[in-house]
Amino acid sequence: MNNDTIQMAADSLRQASQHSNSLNWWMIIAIVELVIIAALLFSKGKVDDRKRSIKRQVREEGDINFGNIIASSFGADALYKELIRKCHPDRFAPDEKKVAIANDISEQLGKYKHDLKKLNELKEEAITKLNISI
Amino acid sequence: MGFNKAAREAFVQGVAPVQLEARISKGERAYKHQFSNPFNSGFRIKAYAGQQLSRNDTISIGAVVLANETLVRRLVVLGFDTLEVHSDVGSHGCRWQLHDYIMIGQGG
Repeated sequence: MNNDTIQMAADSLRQASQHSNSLNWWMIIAIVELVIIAALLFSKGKVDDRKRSIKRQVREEGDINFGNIIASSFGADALYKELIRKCHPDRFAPDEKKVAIANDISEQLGKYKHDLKKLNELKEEAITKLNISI
Repeated sequence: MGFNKAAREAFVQGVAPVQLEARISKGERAYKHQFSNPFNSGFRIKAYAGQQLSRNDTISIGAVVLANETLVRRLVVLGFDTLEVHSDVGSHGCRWQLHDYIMIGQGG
């Protein structure tokens, strides 16, 4: 009877020790997974920081003039076509000074083709410096 | 002033012959970028013209938006990747990939 009890205790201890061994393996796998997840989260945090800094940088670029955008959608094209035709450097051929001004205005017209506000400024400049009527 | 308010005022004052309205749409999946909103990434401009807009008018509206690099950059960082322009009538419109019109996250 006494021997049986000792045997049973020994068996249960052996089983418990085997069980704890297998639990350790699972624990090691879980720790490895945890390290991988932490590394992924850390790298994602770095990407988010970069995104956040770009967002901040873009927000600081200033206000957007939506009124000009709407007006440009319908008025810039016609004004551009008229200006590019009337400010063509060939129209001022013998006068080198005016040709240079016309060249400069034509270059800027190409740059600000879709910006009505800038086109109006260029129009004023053309009227003043090139003596043309638009 | 926001886009829709500016568009309404321009229409009331006679600056714009049609009223434009900006709204969010699903966007084009092929245009995704690193800032894209996972669900609604389209910036749609709808023109209340009462008739089908001509292709030139549609392209002209889109070109003005795309020419404003500050606006495009802001749209991109807000999660938009597609610009769509169409009228309230008909089923045709134009679509652009916003990322093609900026130089973001490059050179520093």
